[in-house]
Amino acid sequence: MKSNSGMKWILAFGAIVLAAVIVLMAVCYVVDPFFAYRVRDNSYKVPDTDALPGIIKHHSYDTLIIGSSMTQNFEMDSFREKLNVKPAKISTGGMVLQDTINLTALANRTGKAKKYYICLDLPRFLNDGKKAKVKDYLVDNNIFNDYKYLLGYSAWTRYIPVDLALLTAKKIGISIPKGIEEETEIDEIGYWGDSFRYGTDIVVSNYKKSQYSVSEVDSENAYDDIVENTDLLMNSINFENCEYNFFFPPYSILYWCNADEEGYFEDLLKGKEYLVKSLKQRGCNIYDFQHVQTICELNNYRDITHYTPQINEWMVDCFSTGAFLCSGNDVSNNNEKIIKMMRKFRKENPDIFEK
Amino acid sequence: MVFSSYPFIFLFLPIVILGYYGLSKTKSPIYQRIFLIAASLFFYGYSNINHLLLIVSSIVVNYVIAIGIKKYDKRADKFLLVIGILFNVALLGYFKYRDFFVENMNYIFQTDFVIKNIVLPLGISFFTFQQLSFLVSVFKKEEKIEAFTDYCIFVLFFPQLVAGPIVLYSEMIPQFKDEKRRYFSSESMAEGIFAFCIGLFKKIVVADTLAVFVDNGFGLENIGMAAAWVSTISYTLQIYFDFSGYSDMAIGLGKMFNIDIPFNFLSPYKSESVTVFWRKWHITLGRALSTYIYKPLGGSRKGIVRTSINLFLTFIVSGLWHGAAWTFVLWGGAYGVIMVFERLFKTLLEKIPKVLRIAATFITVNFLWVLFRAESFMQAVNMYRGLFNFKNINIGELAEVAFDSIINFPTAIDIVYLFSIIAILLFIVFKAKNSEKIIKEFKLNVKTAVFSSTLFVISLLHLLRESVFIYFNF
Repeated sequence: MKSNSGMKWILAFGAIVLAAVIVLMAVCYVVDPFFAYRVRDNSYKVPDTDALPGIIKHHSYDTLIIGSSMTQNFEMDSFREKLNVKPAKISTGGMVLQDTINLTALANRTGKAKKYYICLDLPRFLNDGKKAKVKDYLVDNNIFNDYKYLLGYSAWTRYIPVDLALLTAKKIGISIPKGIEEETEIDEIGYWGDSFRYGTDIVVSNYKKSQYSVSEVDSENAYDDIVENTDLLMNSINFENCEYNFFFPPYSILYWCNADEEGYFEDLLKGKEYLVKSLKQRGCNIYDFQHVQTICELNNYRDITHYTPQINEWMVDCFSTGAFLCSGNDVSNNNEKIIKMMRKFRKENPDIFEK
Repeated sequence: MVFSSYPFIFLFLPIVILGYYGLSKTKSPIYQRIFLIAASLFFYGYSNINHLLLIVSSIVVNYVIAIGIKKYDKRADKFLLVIGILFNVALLGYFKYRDFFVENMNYIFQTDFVIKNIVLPLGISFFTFQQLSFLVSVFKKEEKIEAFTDYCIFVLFFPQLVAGPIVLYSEMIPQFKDEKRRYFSSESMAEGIFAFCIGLFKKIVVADTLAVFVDNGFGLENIGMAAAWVSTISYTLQIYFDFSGYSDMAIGLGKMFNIDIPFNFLSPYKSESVTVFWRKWHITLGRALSTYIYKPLGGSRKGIVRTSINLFLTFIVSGLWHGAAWTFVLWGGAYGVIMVFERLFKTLLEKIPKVLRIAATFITVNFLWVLFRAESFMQAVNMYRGLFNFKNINIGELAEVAFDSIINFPTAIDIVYLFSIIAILLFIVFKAKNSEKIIKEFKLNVKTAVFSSTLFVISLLHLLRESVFIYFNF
């Protein structure tokens, strides 16, 4: 009968869909390209952003390095050798403050990290409307929203096919190109150090073409934004029983010149003082690398903020010796140094600032 | 709320279907209608609750005017019709055209009026046009105005509420009044699921994949020739699969409630002329424009010159309906000119081999979609320059067009991927059966069950990718 055929069709449709969904979710669970259930080093292509919560939950470490592209070129072996720690890098380009908060809070809940090195990207403390990059369903403990991962677009249309191809290639003995091999190492997550050209000419050219690497800012409320977001950070992280090391990365002098031209330079420096004061009250260590002479040597940069891996290495040396640690009272002196360096740089390089 | 989302597919739709057919056990159909109206209001208000008041007000005002038109005659009904037209035009004018008007005023007269950046209520062009056409039909005594709930369901029925197809009162309400259609039919439900899956796949898998190429391509400055052609053809395909996919979903959803919604697309890219193209693309809009603009202007009854003017004006209105920007006016105007040209030289043009005419029509449509997609004149000019930039073919730029920010593949793989997708889709639009044929030939068998479930599961894997319906902007 016709009505039976209709119901049979609907039931068949439902059954096929259900069976397919179960199989797909099972395959994704087993392959697990985002390390949501287990970590696999040197096996799969490590997704830049999506793997971070999984690394926090399942990797073996006692120290976490958390931050944006400013941290992606840190070498984990340097942390091992110079600081005698077991590090894991939690980095992604363009990491917004909410990501930093979410990932640090996840690490607090996981409880494995005894030490943190967290990058303080001042632009991220400004409300520029950028949304969190790290997906909430990968960070939380709610298994009911795992379907977003197990039936997720990027997992299924990109990572699972690539990972299965890598696995198959390894099993049948096809050699993997070095570049791809490196992308399967957790230590190398997000590393971009060798992918760009560095030099004064390219930094200046980018600056003049307004091709900045930081987002444009609404300058009117910069200080208020920094205060608001500092308070958010302070209220979101558990500062007890762990050593927190925050650091201000060494943006090039042109970053500060740009902030000055855009009208939020003073707010940034004032906001930085508020941030340092808040963090010091919780017993955090703060490294301030923003007033070093290196920031005027544009050969060390690929644009107005991104520096060479050698500078990351130098920062690790500073972590091990305690150089550039901020006492809290000296941050305003450090800011004064930035102002002086900026004035001097403008005077010595007028051609860069010609309109 | 959009059709292609988890909340709609797994929460809203099952609840509404269960509720609607559960209420079929009641004697009177009024409860089902009220339930469906409430569900449709929820559907509409989910995206922006502030606009709920707008659509309810629009419905109440139009209904009252329609009652008045029906009740009064001689000059009073005409007066009320004029009020109704002004009300609807004013509503659309404020939300859609105010900022455009102010920008032009400021530019021409160097004034400094504030541009409010008014948020366009979802589907306003559709539900306003639908009600306007209803008022005209009541005035002409072509439609009867009945219960308020009937009118509400006509405007609000959620499958066609925000992006059409634009249905006639006489097409929809008799179906709701048909006693047999109140009750659950597993055949209709199966057919509805089938149509919905086809539409979902077209939108979420095909159109949204093309959207990546289009957004990348249109964002390139000084675009090379290869990338320009790939980007424009991608948009030509994207807008077709996006909008026809939406229409297929609307048809499928209607079918789930035993309501037949008219098809909106009939293989438009197989058309041998622009005139034929507009009979196969967004058919219900074409019908409405013909009935309410072209024919009242005189249609083709007043000589060739007047016909040409009427055609041109109708397409200007079509352009404006689609968007408040000069690019849309230019787009509509260009089609008006081409339609006039085809009418004037019809006999001569028909001597050209059909395959060449189809190719020429496709290229013309492809060319004009640039105006539709471009965010400004300069962007359109950049793309047009690229299309004829023989000195800069730049095959390597195709990798930038294909880039989707998830994984960087080698350029060669990106290019093969891009060309494969476009080649397959061009084959489909030129050679394959369209949705209308496929849906009408639907049979209850294992093959269609497997086909639908495959499309659905693949679509599920794409559901969480960010996407927007192109025609939601109207």
